[in-house]
Amino acid sequence: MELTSLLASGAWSGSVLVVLLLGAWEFSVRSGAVQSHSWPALSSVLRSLASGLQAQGWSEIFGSTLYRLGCGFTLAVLSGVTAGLLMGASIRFYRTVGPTVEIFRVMPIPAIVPPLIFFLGVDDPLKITVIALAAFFPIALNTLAGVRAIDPMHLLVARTFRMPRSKILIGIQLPSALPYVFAGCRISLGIALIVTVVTEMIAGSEGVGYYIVSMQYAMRADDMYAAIILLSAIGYLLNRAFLGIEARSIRWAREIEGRRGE
Amino acid sequence: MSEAALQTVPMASSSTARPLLALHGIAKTYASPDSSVPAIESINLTIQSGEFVSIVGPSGCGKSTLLQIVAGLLRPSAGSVQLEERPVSGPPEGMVCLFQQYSRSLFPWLTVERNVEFGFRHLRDESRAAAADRCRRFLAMVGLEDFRARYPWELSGGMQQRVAIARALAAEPRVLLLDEPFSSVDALTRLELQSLILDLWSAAKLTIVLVTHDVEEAVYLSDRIVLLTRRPARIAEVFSNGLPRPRRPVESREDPRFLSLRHELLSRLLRTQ
Repeated sequence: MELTSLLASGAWSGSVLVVLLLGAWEFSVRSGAVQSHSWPALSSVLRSLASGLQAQGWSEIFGSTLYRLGCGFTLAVLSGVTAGLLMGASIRFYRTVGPTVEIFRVMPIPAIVPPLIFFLGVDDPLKITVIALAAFFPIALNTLAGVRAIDPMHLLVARTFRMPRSKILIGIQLPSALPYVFAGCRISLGIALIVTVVTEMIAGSEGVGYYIVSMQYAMRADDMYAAIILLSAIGYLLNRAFLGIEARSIRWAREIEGRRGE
Repeated sequence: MSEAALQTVPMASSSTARPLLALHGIAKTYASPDSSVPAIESINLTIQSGEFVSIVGPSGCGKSTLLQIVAGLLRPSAGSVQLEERPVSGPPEGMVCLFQQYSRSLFPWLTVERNVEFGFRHLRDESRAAAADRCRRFLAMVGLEDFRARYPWELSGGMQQRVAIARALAAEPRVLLLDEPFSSVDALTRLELQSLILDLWSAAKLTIVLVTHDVEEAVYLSDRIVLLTRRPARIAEVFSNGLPRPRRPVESREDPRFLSLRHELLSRLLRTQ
């Protein structure tokens, strides 16, 4: 019964396309249509992926990448939410830092990697700073938008029950802005992953970005594609995990949204 | 006057003469760059402890603005509000406001219990157990003790407004300000909530100021009814309500005194429209 309803819903058609594309990849090599060192068969890519898993090679490569991603993203969440709350709470603070934020926001972050190398070297301090910087802006600006979108009724209620002004920011404005905060974090997580890999490609000697570039230099196409496949799988899982946390943390927002539509 | 003389005048005179709540020359003007729009003009009113007073007026006349000024949520352009002879400059202790839109006044990220706890959390320090006990007590008063762990959006409109009432009562105010609290619920629920408010009012010896555009509601609930004019709002007349208590949802509404006061108020309101 479940299978038929799954088939009827059409939810399977997305997976079919993925399987078809992978099949076409395998076929293009097996049939001899493409003969190139840069284009190995999917099966040999999977073989090198599996042997890497057995040899613990991947965990070392991805471990250092995920460590930097985690540090940079966490820093961005903490500083971004704080900055967004302060900008939303104080007009004076917003006027002071607003123009600076606008200038930095539009700058392509990888462009500042070369100058930053002067100060931070090419290792973790550089990379974590760059990741945090790139992920900071969507979180800060979304938090700001969330604080501004608060229902004025919430503030009246807080005041009539004599909530101290100093507590309103954390007690009322932050929770009511959470749907915006999560939206910003979701955008930033994607950006952080991209920037992590890019910084590893530009500078340093470890991580998956560095690995992909090295394998390309070494003409080891199997290993290069294996790393790319694993990287997309990890990106997919990270996003899935984040959506799960989000759905659980702000279930109320979705419920209210649904009820307004009724 | 000697100190001895002062001491001989104690309680008796203070309880009879001085009003609990006094409005002196309240005015509110909304200023824009090129003009100023008067919303309220010179309102004087005194309310005694234990009174149930309704403020009735055409929609958009500034009733809710007036109530927010009384609540200390909005500053008047002129005049002052005094609660027990002390000027109100912000939301004072002992007075809380209950709003019309329960779906927006309850915090959707808090459970029913946490919402009720919000009513007194900033007034007193209590242990977790004592706070939970207090929540349970006030939720029981509105018949919702079994819904402690639910979220507001899981409840019906009438139940949500009960939660908001429990939260307001949990602050243990002497004065409860009601801003059209029953206008967003269906007719039957409205009757139930009105009876609930009357019960709570007499049990807790509250003083209530109700803003409403519903004349029947005003007559059914209150001791006095203040009729406001159209914008800018002034007091057109204050009516004393001779309808006997306790009020009964069906019978009281058929009482000749109910009908004649309703008639008077409605025709006055229609004339001012």
